[in-house]
Amino acid sequence: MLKKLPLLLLLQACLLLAAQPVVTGTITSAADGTRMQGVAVAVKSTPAGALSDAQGTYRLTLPPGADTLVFSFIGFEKLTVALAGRTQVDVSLQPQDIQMDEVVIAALGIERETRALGYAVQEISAGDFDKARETNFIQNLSGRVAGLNVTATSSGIAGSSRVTLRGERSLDLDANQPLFVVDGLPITNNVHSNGGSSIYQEDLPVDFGNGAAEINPDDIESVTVLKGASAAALYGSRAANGVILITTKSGKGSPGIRVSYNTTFTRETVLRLPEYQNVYGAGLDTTYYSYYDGPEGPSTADWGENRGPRLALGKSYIQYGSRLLDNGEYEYLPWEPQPSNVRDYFQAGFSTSNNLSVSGSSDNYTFRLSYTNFYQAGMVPNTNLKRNYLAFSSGLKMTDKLRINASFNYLNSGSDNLQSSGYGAQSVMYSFIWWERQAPIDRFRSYWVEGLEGVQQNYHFSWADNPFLIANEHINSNTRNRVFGNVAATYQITPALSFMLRAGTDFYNDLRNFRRPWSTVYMPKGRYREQRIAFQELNTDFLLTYNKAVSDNWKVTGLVGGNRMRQESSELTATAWQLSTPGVYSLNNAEGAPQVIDQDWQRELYSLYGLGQLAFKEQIFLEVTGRNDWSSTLPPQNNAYFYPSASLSTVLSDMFRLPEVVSFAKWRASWGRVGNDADPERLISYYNTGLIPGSVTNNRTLFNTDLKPEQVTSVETGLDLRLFKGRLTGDLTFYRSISRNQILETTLSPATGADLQLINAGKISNWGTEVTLSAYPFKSSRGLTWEVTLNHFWNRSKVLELAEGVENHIIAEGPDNITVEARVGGRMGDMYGEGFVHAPDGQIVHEDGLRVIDFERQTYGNYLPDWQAGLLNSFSYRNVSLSFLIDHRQGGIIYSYTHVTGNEAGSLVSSLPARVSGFVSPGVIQQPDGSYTPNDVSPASDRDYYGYTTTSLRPNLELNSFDATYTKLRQVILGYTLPEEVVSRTRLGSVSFSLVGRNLLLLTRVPNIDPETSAVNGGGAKGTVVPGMEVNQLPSARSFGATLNLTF
Amino acid sequence: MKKILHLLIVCLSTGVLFLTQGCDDYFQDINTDKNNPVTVDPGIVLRNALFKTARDLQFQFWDFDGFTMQYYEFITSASASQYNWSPATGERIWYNTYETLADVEDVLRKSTASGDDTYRAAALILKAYLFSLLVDHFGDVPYSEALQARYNQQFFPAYDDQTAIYRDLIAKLDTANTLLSEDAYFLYGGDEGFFEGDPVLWKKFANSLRLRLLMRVSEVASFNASAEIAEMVADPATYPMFESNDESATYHYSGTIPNVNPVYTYRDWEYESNVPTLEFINRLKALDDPRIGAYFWPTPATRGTDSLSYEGIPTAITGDSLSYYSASNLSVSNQDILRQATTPTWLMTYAEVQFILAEAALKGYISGSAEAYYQAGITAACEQWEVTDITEYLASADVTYAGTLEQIITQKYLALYQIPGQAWAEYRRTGYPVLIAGPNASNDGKVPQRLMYPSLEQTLNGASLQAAIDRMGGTDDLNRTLFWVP
Repeated sequence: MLKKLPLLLLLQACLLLAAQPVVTGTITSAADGTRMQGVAVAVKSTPAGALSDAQGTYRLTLPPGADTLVFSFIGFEKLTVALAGRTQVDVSLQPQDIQMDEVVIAALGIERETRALGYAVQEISAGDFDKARETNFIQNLSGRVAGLNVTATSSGIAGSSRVTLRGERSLDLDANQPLFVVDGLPITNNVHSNGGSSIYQEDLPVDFGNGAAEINPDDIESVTVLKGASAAALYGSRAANGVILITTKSGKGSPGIRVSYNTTFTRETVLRLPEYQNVYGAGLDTTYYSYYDGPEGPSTADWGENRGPRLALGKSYIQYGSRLLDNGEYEYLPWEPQPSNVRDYFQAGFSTSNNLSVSGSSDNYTFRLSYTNFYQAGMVPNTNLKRNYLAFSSGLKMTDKLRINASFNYLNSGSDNLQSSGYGAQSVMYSFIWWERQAPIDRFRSYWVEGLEGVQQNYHFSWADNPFLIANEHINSNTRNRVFGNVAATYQITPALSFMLRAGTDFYNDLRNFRRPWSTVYMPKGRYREQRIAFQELNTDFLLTYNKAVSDNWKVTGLVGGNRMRQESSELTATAWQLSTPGVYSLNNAEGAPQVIDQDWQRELYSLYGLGQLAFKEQIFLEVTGRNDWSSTLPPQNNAYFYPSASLSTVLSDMFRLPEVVSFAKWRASWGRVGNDADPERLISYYNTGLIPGSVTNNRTLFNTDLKPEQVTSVETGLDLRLFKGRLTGDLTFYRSISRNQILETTLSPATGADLQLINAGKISNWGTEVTLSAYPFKSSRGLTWEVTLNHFWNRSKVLELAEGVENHIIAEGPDNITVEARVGGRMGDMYGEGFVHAPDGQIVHEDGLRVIDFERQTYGNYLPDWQAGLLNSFSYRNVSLSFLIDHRQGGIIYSYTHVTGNEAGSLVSSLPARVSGFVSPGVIQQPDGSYTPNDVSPASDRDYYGYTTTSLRPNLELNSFDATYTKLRQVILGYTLPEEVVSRTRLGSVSFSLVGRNLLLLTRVPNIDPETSAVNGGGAKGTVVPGMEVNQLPSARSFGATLNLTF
Repeated sequence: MKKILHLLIVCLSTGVLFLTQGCDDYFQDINTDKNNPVTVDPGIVLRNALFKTARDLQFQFWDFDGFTMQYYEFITSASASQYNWSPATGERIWYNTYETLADVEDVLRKSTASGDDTYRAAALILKAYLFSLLVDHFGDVPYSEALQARYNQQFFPAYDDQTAIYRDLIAKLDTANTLLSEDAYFLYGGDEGFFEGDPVLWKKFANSLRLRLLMRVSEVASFNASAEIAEMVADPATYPMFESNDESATYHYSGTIPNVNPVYTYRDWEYESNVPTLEFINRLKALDDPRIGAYFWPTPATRGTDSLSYEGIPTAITGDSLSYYSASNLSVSNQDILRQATTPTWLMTYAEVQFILAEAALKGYISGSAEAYYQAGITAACEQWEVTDITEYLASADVTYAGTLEQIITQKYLALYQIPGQAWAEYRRTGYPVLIAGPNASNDGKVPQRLMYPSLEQTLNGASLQAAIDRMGGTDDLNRTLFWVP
């Protein structure tokens, strides 16, 4: 096939070049008679086409066989005119009333008229995904869909993102994400991170990203979001939280052969760094600093605190990097502020993406072949990400009755190095919290003791690794191969009845290596770990569809389908805890036996489902669905479960006479229920490997032989309105869902003999509204248009019940006992921790000048936002277009570890106030008689005040959480398309060029960090991505880029 | 068309048939974990529990006991010696101990069900050992309803009265003693790291531990401790106890990672962060104690010279002044002895038994010579550190037996260096040795009487916790004395 391509291309080019007749004409608007510029004129079934100029005239060279012209312009009816041998065709275009035949790709990949849908569906055209590209595809969806919330992790370039639709329904955070479906079949969005919790010094997590992150924007045609449970009943359990349907590009609509090339270059810089102070240098008090024991006194270096002498007084001290002079003394180095020393560590990252695709179609086949190369260099030195995509899709009409569609995606990805994130010696942001404010970063670039390269680090601190050693020697690399795709055959048995068989898979294996050199502070003899992951999901479906108009008024659609889903997972992790020989990263080089953890599982799910729709006069649509699942993960008595849905759509504007401004009005309502099974191997408890060879230990999770399927019931109702001939459209949805019998792991007191217990529990109610408005405030026939789209949504939830006797349940656990808990009567997302003791008037009570800690755990806020909105503005004039997307999140809190640890270390601006002599913390003192007087005592030391030498303030949620409200200028795209008259003189089909910016501006009151972040846990039961908490995450990026798009 | 329909019907009906009949077995098969065992013999569970006990307690001495009892001070930041304890202070002890106890409970249930008395006795002893530590640290703790979630869905165990727990533990040790006969053996192999799997030594451990617990409650009227101690000492055939250092309850690590002493895995800076206190060094110096060189290394500058110098830092000085001490001028724990992969962890020593007997004799519970027990205690404690030439030491003015409880307990304190959990309990029971809190210590300069409960218990077992707190005076108070404090 590939070999023949050049030949085909050549043929095509020859055809184009041959002398051809020409057609010209003038285009006017039927509304006001003005001449219209920028109208696309195409020759049907050929790639030939042109745009009208400022005078509304066009000129087009006709290819052989041209017989029909198609005129199209946004907001106007498409007009098809037969040439009939004419050389001049003047037309006048009718303004569009409303796209009555609007279709979306709905469940099961079937194109459905929007008017017939009884549930909320939102479609986003993929138009700018390949221009304003995000490394993690999910990030592209942020701000674009009402009800969709994206949480990034800022855990490095491959970092995961978490997406939820309509709030948190399940008490298991990992089970709250929607299902991703590509070309009709589910793909996995698994996160396989590695390592321990976000504060586990010895073994910080490394985030390799979530499965859906790897979807290639270049191959996406459109994204449809099915939000409710009823929209998704046909996809089964995993769709309980909605479905994100991705349709990849096919050759459809490109007659002949079309080649397109798309190249993007993006440059990324650090969006925001913590606000480091530049007043004091390293050390313990302001009298002196000495890295070694020196004339001024003993060494004050190893604490990492920035409470040393004031900077910028022209002083100098013995520091790290001081040379030993001939006289046996250490060199004195200047003591000056280095406001950019952390910024200087980071470099500008960049990414390049090149996509070449060939597509084509004829009456009997369509195909598209696409290759994409993506490379990204991270902002942390020596980190990168590489992806190669090969995508092929094809449709073949074998006979009049038999059609075969296939889509195949191969992805080869990997990284030479990704960073660990969190609070620990392997994280660079941890290093910079406990850093020296007066040290230029260049002082740390060489980190080996001379002559002992690879063996002995030249320690700066005895407890933290050099950040350049972290980047260059703590290598976390991987190679991943993934294939997903499917083949489907559809047979049209009778005009009304068709039968489809489909098989598809999503398969990947991932080989990861984790290297730690000798002499790192937590691994004196290094470490090497290998993780091998193989995962496969297989889906086999059949679908029988019946579609018939039984009378003029009544139409019946019915379908019956079945699905077999099988997943197999195998994961092997082997660790050499010490290396015999430095620099040899292999399990063979382990000192002692390597530790091996082997984890395999499989699961199967069989389903039968059906759908029936009755349509009356194309005005009233009633739809019912039902599905029965048989799951391998539930006990025999509970392993079969049924769930139904029903929906109603009525086109009010057709049924009743509505005021003229209303062009279209539809009311819809739906009710649906989704059942869900458990994770595999959760019924019978087994013993885990013990701490030493030849020992076992009781599983800390209690399994449950009596699990029942979970159940989510949801109702929604909505109004779809189009006013002023489509100039203003609005979609309003109200929904409510109740989830019951959730399968969750409740945390137990260790005194019970276990940590977690698997139970069916919980009744969670979620409700909210979603509004999508779009308008054309301005649209002139001369080509200037302005389109505004607004998404606004809010969600509230309430924990109605947990299990019997259970009043609270830990959903997620962050550092220092900061938790997200569901408590009966509370909201989902409530965060709990310690705070301060308050006087009745709300002031903080003090003792010895210090704030008194209240050890009673309380909630101090909720990480979920009050509401979110996205505003997209698009302008176009002639060949120029400009769009910008503003993303706003209102409310919710974020707990910041950077804040508390940075104050402990004295590294942040916020650690300055208590150093001023006479500082008195605002608040009150409780007198022996119980009365309160204003606090007038200074703390003995600012180190005490910031919790370094006294009781830790890290568990203090009140102190360390902030209103996470933010506004982001998420995306700006400035595009230019080369005019047709210029392009037509070349061999090119079209040329467009865009300048793109992402995350350009951040407005927030949260100090130090980008509030759009969350912590990552390497493993463990309680959530992989922990929302609402920031644990020394890497900085997020601001990016600028350019894209060039060519078609031939 | 007909063919296709026919095929469809066949497919569907086969599917339905499969789903209704064969699938339950098939589903159960694929849903079973094949990487891990579902049933095991008790020996390999006990092995894990023993190693974990030793490892956790070794850590506990280094990051809690040592500071609280002023053996150590932490050089980089505040330690437990500041006595400004929060609910987080005891979290690790609570979590680790109950986690180990879950395995112990499993061994106990398995062996009780199968009638395997040796494993049952071992589980009872370990359970008594660990629960007595929990009570000594916290006071009331979940006991009778604890560890039962796995077996009877008891998710909110009540906190038991500390006195009742102790009474039951002492009884359990008596049971263990009777279960272990001369010809007992470990059917599935004992743990080579602990008593080399010798049930006789387990029996001696049971009685030695019982002696410890009895002495602890000796001032509590409702226990008949003095009589029980007398009965045990009078009948060594029925109640054999440790008779030499070799018989001490000692965990021997194999020395191959991960079966190593946890102190061996400390990084240099972590190891060097635990510095002897000035008070402890001065105490040893004042007695001219020959163990000083076994316990600690001299300062780096004097190492290997003729004038060895041992230096410590004062306990609980202010954070600001603490920081001016540099490891280069200070002693550290003896690396040759304490930081080896095979450095043992002592759970209970022969020396401790001798000191208990010395106290019993002093108080007249038993008839023997308090002085002889006292001297045997010191001798054993020194020999445990391979310090053998102690004649001069025993004869020195302050060491010669003076017949005071303070002297016995102070010597016991010197001997309890590296022994987890004991010095603090003995201090609270007897008030010895006299400790003076550092200048930066909170809590009005008092050594706390107990640990606060971990804060997550509020969320996880709130009602039971509240009942216990109410019973103990309404607040989760550091200074609330335990029942065995006279």
